[in-house]
Amino acid sequence: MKINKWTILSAAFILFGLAGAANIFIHGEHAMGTTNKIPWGILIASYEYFVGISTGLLLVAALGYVFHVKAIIPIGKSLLMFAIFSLISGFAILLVELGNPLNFIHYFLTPNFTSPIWWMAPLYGIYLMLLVTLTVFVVRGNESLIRPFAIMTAVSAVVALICIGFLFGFIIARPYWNGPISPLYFILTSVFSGIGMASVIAYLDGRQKTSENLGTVKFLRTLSLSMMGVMVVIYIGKTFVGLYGQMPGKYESLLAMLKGPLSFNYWVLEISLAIVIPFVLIISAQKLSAIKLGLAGLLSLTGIFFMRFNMVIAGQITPLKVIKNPAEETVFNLFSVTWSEWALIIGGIGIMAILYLQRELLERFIKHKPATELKKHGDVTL
Amino acid sequence: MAKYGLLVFPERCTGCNACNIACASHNQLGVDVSYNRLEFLETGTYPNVKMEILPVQCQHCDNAPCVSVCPTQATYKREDGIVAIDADKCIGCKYCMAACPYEARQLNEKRVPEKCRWCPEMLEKGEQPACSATCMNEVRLFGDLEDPNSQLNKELAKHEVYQLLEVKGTKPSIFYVKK
Ligand code: SF4
Ligand code: SF4
Repeated sequence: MKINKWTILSAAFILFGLAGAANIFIHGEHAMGTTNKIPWGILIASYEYFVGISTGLLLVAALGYVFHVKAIIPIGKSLLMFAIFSLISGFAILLVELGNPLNFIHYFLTPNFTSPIWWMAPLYGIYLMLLVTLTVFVVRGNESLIRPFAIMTAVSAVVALICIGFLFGFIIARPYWNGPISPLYFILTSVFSGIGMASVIAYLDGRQKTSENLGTVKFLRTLSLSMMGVMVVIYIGKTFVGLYGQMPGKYESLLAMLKGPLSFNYWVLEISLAIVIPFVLIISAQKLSAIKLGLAGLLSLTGIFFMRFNMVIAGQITPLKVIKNPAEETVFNLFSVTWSEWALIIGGIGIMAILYLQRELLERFIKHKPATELKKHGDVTL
Repeated sequence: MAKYGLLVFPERCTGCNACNIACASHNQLGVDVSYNRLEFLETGTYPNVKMEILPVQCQHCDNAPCVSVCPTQATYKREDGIVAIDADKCIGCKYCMAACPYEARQLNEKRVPEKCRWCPEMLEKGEQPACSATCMNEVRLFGDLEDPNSQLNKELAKHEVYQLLEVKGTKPSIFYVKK
């Protein structure tokens, strides 16, 4: 096991996360920022965030393994591993968010097939199994099996993302979430987060400059810029449709983001961090700069975290009115985040980081080779 | 099998909250939980203003979003129309809370989203639940929608009624008498 300052820092993150989890287990919902009016808070957003990164990374990796984009192959293995680790972090957070995980047995005893949450478990279970299998084939170099499994894993990732889209899109009570575009929104934003994480990985994996790395950086640079273009179209579409139609519920939630209690989150933490600053950073780089791309990816990832949070809160911030009084001003529901929730999120990052730092062990396990031999062959980069 | 329903006469409500207190005491609710609430609606312009009061609770929807989304069938629709919760099956995902258009759910200390039960133990005996029994102005009238001779059906025939958020397609089992 490799222990350096990053491993120690990651372990400290996990310990902090465990403290947060313990506080939530002891004090229940009181230790969380959720309320009866805003039942889903930052932990649901974080779950979405981590599984979004996982599926997004897999879809980026699929460009290499399914569509033979050569520039992705050098970092492909790292993308797949990170996809597994990110999913583990997401599930760890969800486990604490669930009020009564011990009743989970009823998931199997009395399943409800009309519930998107029910479908999440089998769909993400299948996705995880395929993802792990694909990673094993990639690590072992089973060339003939990689492409078919990459196709199956990519399909399962898209299906799982569609399910998250339905999870929100089906909710007629919350006009901001409700609608048919929700699955597409989740697919595109997850790919965006996957590209951000891939940019960070390209920097971490390719610190010794080779022409291969430059090819990867060049491709990810184009991919990032294109995806930012797609995101701008999504934002313009969502904003104009919301403002133009003034549909009750949706309109107020949009205003909460544009100029209400979520406006700092929206303009500064979401739009600026996810798109504007990374865009400027990427196009301002004189030549291909792995570090600037990596930094842009990191900023995008931070912004996308708030994108998830804002989306979850915006859907619930507008009070559900059973009777309408047109004269009455909208008083938005209050939202907050507690230290325990932040601790869990930091713990989730710690889990992802520590697993990534120790991926050599995993590779050794998959290949059944001692670590020293792997190093000799230069199979592992840290 | 009976199919329970409720008729509410909002114009009779004085906002005294006795229903709420009776419900809390009957169901032994914690301090943060209440199954009934009163919504106040101010209409008109000064000096001609009016305050309307609307008692709101779980609507025991026939097409209940909370039932559709519950992954473990912890929330389920009984044959008698009551939407009930089996706390032992609830994993605490709070999907039902997010999905209910009436904000009827309240999280209890055990992290189970509770709500009005319509006190089946009273209805089965032909009695009115605590909220209705305690109300001095008989704002709430429970009864069997399938029994043509029930008091509920007789009153329903006499009045023009509406349901809350009909556009959401939830088909509530509560009817409100129009002014
Ligand atoms: S009012 Fe809400 S909690 Fe009650 S049945 Fe309808 S959706 Fe479910
Ligand atoms: S919180 Fe419980 S009752 Fe509500 S949807 Fe989840 S499992 Fe069902």
